[in-house]
Amino acid sequence: MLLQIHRILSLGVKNLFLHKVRSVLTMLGIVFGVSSVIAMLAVGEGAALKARQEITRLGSRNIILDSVEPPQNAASQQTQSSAAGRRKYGLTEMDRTRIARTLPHVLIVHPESTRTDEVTSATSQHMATLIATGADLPEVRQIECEQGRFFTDLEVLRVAPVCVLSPSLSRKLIPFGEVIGKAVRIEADYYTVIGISRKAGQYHDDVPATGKAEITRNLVYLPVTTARARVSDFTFGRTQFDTLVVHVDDSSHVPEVARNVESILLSLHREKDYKMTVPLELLAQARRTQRLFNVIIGSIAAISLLVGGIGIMNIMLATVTERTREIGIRRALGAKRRDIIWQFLAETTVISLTGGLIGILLGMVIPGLISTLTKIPTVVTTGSVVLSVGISLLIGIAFGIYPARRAASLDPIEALRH
Amino acid sequence: MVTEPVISIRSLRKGYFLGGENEVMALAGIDLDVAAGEYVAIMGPSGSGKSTLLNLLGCLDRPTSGSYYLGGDDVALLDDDSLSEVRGHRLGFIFQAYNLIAQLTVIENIEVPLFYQPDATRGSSARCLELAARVGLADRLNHRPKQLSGGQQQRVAIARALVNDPLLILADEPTGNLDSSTEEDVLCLLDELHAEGRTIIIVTHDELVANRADRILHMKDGRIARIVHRPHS
Repeated sequence: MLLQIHRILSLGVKNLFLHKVRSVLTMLGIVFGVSSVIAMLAVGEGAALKARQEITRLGSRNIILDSVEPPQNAASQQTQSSAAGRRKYGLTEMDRTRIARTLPHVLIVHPESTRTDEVTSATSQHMATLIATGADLPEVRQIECEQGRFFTDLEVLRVAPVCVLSPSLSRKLIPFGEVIGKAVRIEADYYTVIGISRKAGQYHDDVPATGKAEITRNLVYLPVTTARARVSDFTFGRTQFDTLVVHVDDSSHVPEVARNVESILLSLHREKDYKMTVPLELLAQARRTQRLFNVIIGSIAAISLLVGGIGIMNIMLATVTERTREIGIRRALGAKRRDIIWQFLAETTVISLTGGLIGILLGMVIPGLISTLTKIPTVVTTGSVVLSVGISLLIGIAFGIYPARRAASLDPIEALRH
Repeated sequence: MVTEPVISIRSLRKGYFLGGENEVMALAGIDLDVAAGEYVAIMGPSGSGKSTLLNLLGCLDRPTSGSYYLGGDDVALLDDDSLSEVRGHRLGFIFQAYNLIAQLTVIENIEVPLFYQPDATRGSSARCLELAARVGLADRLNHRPKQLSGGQQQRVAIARALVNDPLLILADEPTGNLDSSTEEDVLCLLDELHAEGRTIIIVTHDELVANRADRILHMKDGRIARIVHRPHS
């Protein structure tokens, strides 16, 4: 059996080698079809992966509310320009307590606000991002302390002068010795360092970076109460909270909670000065987009592979006509119809499989080039490779079967006379 | 020497429908026995039915009626696959136009019938080499048919016809395309095979070619009109 397959395949390869140019040209259709499928899927998969990572980082159990400066109509801007400049907007303490107290499934409503300011230690001074937040930050944002601890609810309640530093900032401010227990200065007040966070970058990629990227890595976490009481930017800021993160007990309740939050905010705000982001919905949206993308790619690929397959069929039909006499001779010498079918199928399969394999190699190189040249992430999945091999095999058989059957159906006497 | 005949044909008929209802009888009832080791020539003008008879003898076609026993088995009404098997195992063909496969070398052409017999692979290459040597082409194994003369091509075809050790060799005008000197080579080769005890049926126009056979069948209008036995010395 194996020997037979080997013989048929080697005969197929041999016949293809007799017409090298023709075989290679026939193969090209499949090569380009398969490589474009793999490359496109890799780009799509890379984009989807990046989107998923970003969304997951926001937290699938979170609903994120951001304060947004409301659009001002031209009339109001002209008449009360100075007053409008200081007008308050955005999320308030009222929103926070209403959501936290009245909605089921809400575990925590967690506040965050950020400002940029100077932080001073005994030895140096650095620009840093100050984050005024609650004690629940570690749970809500999946941040841990490398050293020491995060501040507690009690400390938030008591307006304690404490802070947590990001690793890079702590190293710059206090290069030697124990960091925990040292004091740093912001504006006129001193704060005791009680902890150092782990991997700061993971959280605050989405903090608006004011100029230098370095500042976004220099983070100081302060209790929200302390920040508002002592740091002037927070005290006199136009918003009470930049961000509220509604932390829900289970991701299945997120849509329901999101609807309720929306209606509470609608009743409390006269204008739309907030923005709601539901990572879970974004994720679903991303999946839908990905699926649509795959369907489009699939259709394009199907068309190009169809064209390739028709190319194979076209060539094989010509080959059958050209080799009618050979078919007659083989039949006279004992070849059954099925032997002739296998002979021609072997040739189409070898063409399409070889084309498929070359296409896969090409399809794996192209995404690599795209990644290095444009920094777009690409992921070649095993699935797409397996799919391509399967498809090219299928094309070889599907488009080979008709010419092969036609060859086999020739009457040996007629074929010999040819 | 009383043995079972290689071929035993009784009232074999073959009709063709050439449009409409009229059936044209190409063979109108043939009875024929060919003993093992016999050398039979079939002669006759075009349209006498000799090609039809050869196609039936060669299991390339099926008769309309009648029986055909080849080596003791009824092969008249076998299906396509079984006929292929019979051709591959029991018959050797020599054609007027040689019918070698152009893209294969001499040795590969000789091997073709064995390709379709999965059980006949062991020791087959040695046999092919031996046959190539026998027909005098040992030094041209890797030539393509186009690089050979007509006589050489026909000798390749003869080696190919022998590779499956056939019960019966069918030759259709084997010297039709050859000049007189190469014709002689090929006919001598056939004589040798006959001397070895092979059963041969040859179709020819040429009286001189036919005269080498033991028996000559003259065909006319789909029947065997006359049989000439040639006494052998």
